Amino acid sequence: MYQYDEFDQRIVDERVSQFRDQTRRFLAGSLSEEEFRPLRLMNGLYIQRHAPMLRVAIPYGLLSATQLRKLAHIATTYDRGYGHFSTRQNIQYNWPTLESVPDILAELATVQMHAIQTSGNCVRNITSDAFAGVAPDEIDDPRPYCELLRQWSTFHPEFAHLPRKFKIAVSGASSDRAATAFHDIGLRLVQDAEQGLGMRVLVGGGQGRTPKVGVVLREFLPLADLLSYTEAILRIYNQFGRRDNKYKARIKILVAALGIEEFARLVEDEWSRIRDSVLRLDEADIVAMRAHFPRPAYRSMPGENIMTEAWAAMEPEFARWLKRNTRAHRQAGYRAVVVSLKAPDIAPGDITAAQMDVVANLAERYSFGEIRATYDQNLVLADVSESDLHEVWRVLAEHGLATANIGLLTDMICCPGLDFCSLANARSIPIAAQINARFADLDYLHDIGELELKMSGCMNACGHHHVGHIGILGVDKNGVEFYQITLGGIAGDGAQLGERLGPGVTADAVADTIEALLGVYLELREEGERFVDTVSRCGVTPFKDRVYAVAA
Amino acid sequence: MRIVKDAREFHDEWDLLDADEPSRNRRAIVPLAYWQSVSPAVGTSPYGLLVRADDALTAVLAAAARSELVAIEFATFTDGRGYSFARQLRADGFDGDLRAVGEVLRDQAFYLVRCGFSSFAPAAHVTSEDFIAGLTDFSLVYQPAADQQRTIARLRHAR
Repeated sequence: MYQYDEFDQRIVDERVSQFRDQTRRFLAGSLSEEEFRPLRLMNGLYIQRHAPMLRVAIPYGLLSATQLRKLAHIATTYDRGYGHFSTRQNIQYNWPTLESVPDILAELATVQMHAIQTSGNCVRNITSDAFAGVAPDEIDDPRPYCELLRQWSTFHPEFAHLPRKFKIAVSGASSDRAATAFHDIGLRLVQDAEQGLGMRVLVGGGQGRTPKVGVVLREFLPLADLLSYTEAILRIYNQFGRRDNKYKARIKILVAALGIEEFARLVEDEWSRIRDSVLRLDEADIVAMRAHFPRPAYRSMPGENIMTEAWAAMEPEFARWLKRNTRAHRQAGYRAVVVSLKAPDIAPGDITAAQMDVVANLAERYSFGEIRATYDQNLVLADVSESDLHEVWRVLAEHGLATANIGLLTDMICCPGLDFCSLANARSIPIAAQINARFADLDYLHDIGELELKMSGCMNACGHHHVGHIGILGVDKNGVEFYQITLGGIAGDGAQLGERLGPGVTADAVADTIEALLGVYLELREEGERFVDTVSRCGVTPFKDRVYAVAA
Repeated sequence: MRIVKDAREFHDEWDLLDADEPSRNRRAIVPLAYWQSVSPAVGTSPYGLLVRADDALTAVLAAAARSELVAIEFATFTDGRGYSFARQLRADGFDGDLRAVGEVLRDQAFYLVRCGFSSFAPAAHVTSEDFIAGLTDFSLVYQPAADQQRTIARLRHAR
C-alpha cells in the first residue's frame, strides 16, 4: 500500500500543529464558533447529540494492521472502546472530547493517518472498490488513481470552500462495487481498443433530498488528464454551484439546471486552458504511483485445496461462511474474506477495540498485513490463502466477526440515526435490531438470497436508502417516527433509484412489512431471480397490495 | 487601508469606495459597474477594481487588464468563489496587485496566497501578526496553483 515519504509525513505533522493551534484559539475565545466550525469540519469533527464525533480518513478504504491497531488504541484511550465504519470507508468515533482531538490527530500521524477533509464543503475522502487489486473482473487497479487524486485534493487552495461537499469514487472493475453513479464524480476505468486505458467520467450523482443517478460527462478520459479534467470540473462547480440554499448546492443540482451538454461545454472549455499545464500526468508519474501497490508475494498453490473441502464437509457453519463471506480471487489458491460487522446484536458497522486487534492480528498473519473497509460497512482481508481459511474463520467466529450474512438481508447499511446524529429525524439502530431479531434464522436468509437493505434516519440519506433493494427512510411526523419503504434501488451496475411503496409504516411495523415483502417475493420469484430482479420484473404493485392489505 | 503584503503590515493609499463617493487624495477601489462608468475608454484606469462573487468573469478579466489593483471581496469567508476568480485572473495574465478584502481571516491566508493573491486586508478583528502567521501554516504543497512554490511531485522528481 502507499507509504508516506518525508513530504507526506511533514504535511500531516503540520496539519496536527495547525489544528492544535486552531483548537487553542477557539477554546481561548479568539476564534468564534462560526469561524471555528468549517475548520473543525475539515478535520472531520462534528458537534453531535452527545459529544463531538470525529471521522478519521481511510483513503480508499485501505488500512495496514499497524493502523488498525492504532484505531483500536484510540477507541480505548479517547472513546468508549469502539468505532463505527461508515459507507465512505472511514471510521467514526462518537465520544471523544474536543480538547483531546489534537492529541488523537497526533497519534494518527504516527501511523500515516489523519482526518483531513473528512467533512466540510471540500473534496472528501476518495472511495473505491474494497476488492481492488484482487477482483477477478478488474481492468486496472484503481488505487494508484485514488492516491493521485488524494494528493491533488489535499489542501487544494481553490476548493476549500465549495458550495457543498464533494465526493469522488473510482472503480477499476467491470462490476461497479463503489457506487460510482451516486457520487459527485464517478470514475470507471475502461479499456479502449484504440486509445488504451482511460476513464469514463460520470458527474452529478448523489442521494440526499434530491437523489440523482450520475450522467456520463465524458466517455473516455486519457489517464494523463485525470487531474486537469477533475480540476476543470471543480472550478466550474465552485463558480456556478448554488450557494443560496444548502439543499440545492451539490453539483447534481447545477448539472440538472444547466443540462449535461451545457455543463460539459463549460468544463471542456476550462479544461482546454489547463490541459497542457503542469497538472498533466506523465507516464512516469503513473508508473511510480502504481509501484506503491505491488502484488503481494503469493505462494503458488496448485490444484484444489483438499483440507478446506474436508473442513467444509464436516462443519456446516464453516461451509456456509465460506459460501457467503468469501469472494473469488484472481490468484489461484486465494480468497478474499469479508469480516462481517453485522452480528445480530450490534449496530451495523460497529466494532470494538478488541475486535480491531483481532482483525489486525489476522491480517498480519494471513493477509499480508492489510485490511480494507467496505462501502457496506464491513472489513475485508483481501489475500487469504485457501489453506488458512478455516483458521481465519475459527478466530473470527470466536470474536463475533463471522456472521455468515454477507450480501443477505441482515448485512444492512445503516446510519447512526437519532441515537447519535443531530441531523436525524428518526432512530435507525433500534429498527436494525428489530429486523435482526425477526430474521435471525440463517437458513431463511440464505433461502431469500442476495438482498441489499439500506436504512437512513433522515432524508440526508447517509444510509443510502435510495439505492437499497429495500430502502427504509425514517421520518418524523408530529413527533412520531414513521418509516417509508422504497423498492428496487441499485447502487452498482444498472444503477437506479428505488420506488416508493406507499405511506410510511410505524416503527413497530417495519419487520412485519419486510416479512410481507419477502412473502410476495417467495411466491413470485423465478428460478435464480434475486429479490431486486423480481421487483424489476413485476413492479412494486404486488408488493404494495400485500403490505397495505396487511396494514388495513 | 491596512494590508498585509510580502508578509509585512502596510497602510497604503487605496480605499474601498462602495458607490459613487468621489475620492480626493486617496485612490479608490470601486465596484465593476462604477469602474466601467468612470474609467477612461483606453489605458490604465486610475481606479482599483472591486470584484464581487456574482460578477461575470469575462467583464472582470476585461476590466482587470486595465487596472493596477484588483480587490476580490469575500462577503463571507465561506464563499469560495473568490479563489477561482483569483486563479483565473492570474491564468489570464493579470500581474498587478491582487487583494483579498472583506471577511479575510487568518485561517484562509495559506489558501489565498496560493491562489495568487498578493495583498490582504484582514478583517478588523484579525491582527496583521496573526494573519502573517497563517501564511506559512504548511511548508509543502501537493498541487500546482498560482504561486511559484514547487510541488511535492517536483521535489520528488528532483531527488
